[in-house]
Amino acid sequence: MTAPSPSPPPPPSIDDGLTSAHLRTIESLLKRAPSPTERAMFSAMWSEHCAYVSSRMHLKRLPQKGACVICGPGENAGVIDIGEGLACVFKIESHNHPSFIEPYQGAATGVGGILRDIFTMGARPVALLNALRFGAPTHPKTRSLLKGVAQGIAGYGNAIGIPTVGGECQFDDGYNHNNLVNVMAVGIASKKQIFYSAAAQDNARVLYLGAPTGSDGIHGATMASAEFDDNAQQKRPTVQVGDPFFGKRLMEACLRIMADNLILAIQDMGAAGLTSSISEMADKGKSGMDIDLDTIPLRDATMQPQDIMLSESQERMLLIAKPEALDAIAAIAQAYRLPLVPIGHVNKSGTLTLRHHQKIVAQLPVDALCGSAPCYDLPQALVPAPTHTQPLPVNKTTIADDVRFLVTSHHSASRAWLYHQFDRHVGGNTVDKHVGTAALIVLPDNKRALALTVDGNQRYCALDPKLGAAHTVAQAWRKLCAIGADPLALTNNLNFADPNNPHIMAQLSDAIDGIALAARALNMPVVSGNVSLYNQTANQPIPPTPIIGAVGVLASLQTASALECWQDGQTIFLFSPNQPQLPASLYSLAVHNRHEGPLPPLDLSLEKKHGEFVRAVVSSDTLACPLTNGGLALALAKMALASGVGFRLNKDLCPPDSTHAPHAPHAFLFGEQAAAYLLISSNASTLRKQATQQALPLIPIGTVGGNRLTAPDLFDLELAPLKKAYTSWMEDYINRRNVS
Amino acid sequence: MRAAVLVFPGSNCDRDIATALRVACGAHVSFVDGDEETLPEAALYVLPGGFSWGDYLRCGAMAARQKATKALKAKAEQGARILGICNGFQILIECGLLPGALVKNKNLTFICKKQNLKVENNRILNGKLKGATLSLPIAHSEGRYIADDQTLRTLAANQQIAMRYGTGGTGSTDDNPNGSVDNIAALTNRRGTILGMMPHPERALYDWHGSCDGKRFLQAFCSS
Repeated sequence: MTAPSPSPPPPPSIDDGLTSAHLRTIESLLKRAPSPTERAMFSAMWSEHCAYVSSRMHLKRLPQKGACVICGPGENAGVIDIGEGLACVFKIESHNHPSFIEPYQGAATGVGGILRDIFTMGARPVALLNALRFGAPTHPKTRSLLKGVAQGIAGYGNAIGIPTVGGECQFDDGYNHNNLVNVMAVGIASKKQIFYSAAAQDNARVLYLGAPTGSDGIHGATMASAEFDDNAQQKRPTVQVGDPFFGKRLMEACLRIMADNLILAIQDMGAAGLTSSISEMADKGKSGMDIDLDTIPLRDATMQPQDIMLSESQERMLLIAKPEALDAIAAIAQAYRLPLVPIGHVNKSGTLTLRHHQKIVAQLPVDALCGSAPCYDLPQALVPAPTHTQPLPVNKTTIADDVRFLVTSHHSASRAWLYHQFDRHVGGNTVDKHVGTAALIVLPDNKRALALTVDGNQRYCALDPKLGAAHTVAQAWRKLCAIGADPLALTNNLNFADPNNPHIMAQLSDAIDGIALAARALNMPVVSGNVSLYNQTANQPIPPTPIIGAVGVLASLQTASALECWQDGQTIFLFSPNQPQLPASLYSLAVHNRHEGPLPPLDLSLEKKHGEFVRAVVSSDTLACPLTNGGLALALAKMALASGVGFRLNKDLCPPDSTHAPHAPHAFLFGEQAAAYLLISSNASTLRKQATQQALPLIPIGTVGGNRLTAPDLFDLELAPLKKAYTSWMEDYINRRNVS
Repeated sequence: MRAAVLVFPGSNCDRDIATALRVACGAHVSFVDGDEETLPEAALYVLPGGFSWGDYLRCGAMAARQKATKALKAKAEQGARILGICNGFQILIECGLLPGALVKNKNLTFICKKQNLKVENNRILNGKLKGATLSLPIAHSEGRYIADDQTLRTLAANQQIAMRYGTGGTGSTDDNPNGSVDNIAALTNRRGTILGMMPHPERALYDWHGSCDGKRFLQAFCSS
């Protein structure tokens, strides 16, 4: 064998992101200059997207171990034990950059990509969730981005037949030039049949299964690792194109191949395509591979080796076959009409050798590619956010208007226009419920259910990334507890701007610390995740946006809270530490345009204690609703809107002379706090007894009933017109029937 | 009861309807690949929901031309009982087993929601659920039923309209999610042996589904 030609690489056709320092390192690792193919492979594998160069050293601080963890970060997705022989496989991933350039395909391939990560581990996907961020509704691009992303998620998710069961969608001018599309996928597998990616067995055959390789998505990983400028549209060729029909056949074929136990290892071709899949499989298996690029199915026969290696064409998998199973695998591929090609062998060389037209075009030590990627400890300097000094100019006479504004504007209006486009029932396991807490997917025993949620709070994180990220984890915990589930584990998607800016780097590092703090205290290990950096265009960074996906298990559907709406005559209790705060609240930002700290305090042991109490008391006659954005007023209003039944709060909750929290009317209604819930019960005396026994603060504040939302002396709103405005905002916005 | 569910590469409600038929009717369910030239003997043949061949062309157009579907047409002529749900309804129309067309929803988006429906003609439900209001999920992008006036008159005269959207009855525009003419949600053939429907009964079996009306519907449909 001869080494590839040592002649200096020609300048790459588009900027491949490698600096001269990178090239010097590569030359010293190889003791020669890299060939064009090798250079392309380094550029992909050493990108932020594949190697987490700026975040890797910080991610180690996340708690990754726990009693339920079967497989933590590092594989295609995290795996946890959910009892009775089952495992839950889940991960969240972003497709922010592609969906800003081409919203339909960007979002669609985001769904396709994360689903492959799940079924690659041997799990049948059972649910999708998404966390979306768009710019201000008044920004000229927002409407078309929202439409395109909605259709892209629907186009892929609905067609492949995995229900989209939950999510959240927020608008903020910080995302005007850089929307976020984070998709979480969840699957179920038998605990005994989890598949991994390590290619270890000498001489085992490497099989390529799936769609032919085309010129789409070349340098996608590099694109996703750089800031955009005003010419972002020129990057459209780097966006992949998805085919859910192909994806469906690939998924079914892979699940069959794994159910029949025909392979040793499997890996999907995601970011950086063939390059990352072969190098990661070899790296994990401490092996090498010899690959013949002439065997790769191509859509364009003129593709050069570096393009073949970098293509991010969708719906492609790499399998390491059991030697005796080649025919059986071929039969399955044929049944699903999928191309299947042997492209090479595993060996013990520790080297990746790529051949093209009988020449070696790359010969790289796996260690150099995977183990030597740069890892930066970038400088950090957090610029403190403004803190609250002047009281808000609140006015008691406008409270009703404020409630109406929050509920019927982009801040909190119904997202039904969006969610109605997603098939949430396919698969037949979705619990249909009215009140928006965690989503529930019934497990095969027809008795237990997975509880799933995604959360993000850029309003908090922009003010205090560490405490804000911890609050986000606590919010996810609260949502799982409110539905009665046992919270088990987390996945996270860290969406940040350019880490070379010390302020942004500090945001990232602090947010990781915040997640770690809360995840440890609440005993929810982080088993998978993704980092999306350079979310900024023309120097306008997005707010720091860590998105938390959480998984829990509900022991019995019988005890699920919120399967029903609240009912006439039930008592409403406020269960909270009684420390609502206006600074940093949604109310402060939305109504007074004041975005300033400090955040509400977060006592994680109290959060845990309250969550455990809520989980224990929710039942068919007691339901819970976590207090989050918008505080008590918004939680009450949303319960009323979801149930179609109003409420009446008790008199004198805010005596006229009270000007300090918690009893000042605005703080009481709109203030935000951790560890807080509404509990609604038709069995009030039992609930009170349970709280008294544990000396927990449970205050009756009102009664469910009627067709008005009433808080004496504070506000009084009619339900029907409020519901109409709440329900129609998004559709009216899309159809240009309103202005905000 | 034996039921055979035809499966195309992009079907995605095949397992769901099989489960539903087992749960609701105690059926023995087998799956038949779309490439099969002969169909097993069965009391009921089902065309399930999904995106049979990706449906990048007209929905169901490719599936209508596949071998098993051709065999199904022969069975239909002999009076076999056939149920097509969602994409299955689209395939039945593409096969010419039911008249009219299913086109893009009026609002041009996919719609997933729980929907109230009214049973209009219950011949295919063996005389059960007469005039009943059912709550069943819908999930489709091309579910807007259209037909020419002559066809509509024939359908009405022959009592072939099995279900309408909303609770208002004939021609009402009350809660018509996709803009179907005369709120038509489900149709039978003239003999009353074939049923095509856009709503998904297999997604309404348990309390936690939010409605058990799908179970009631399938039990009525499978009773005899």
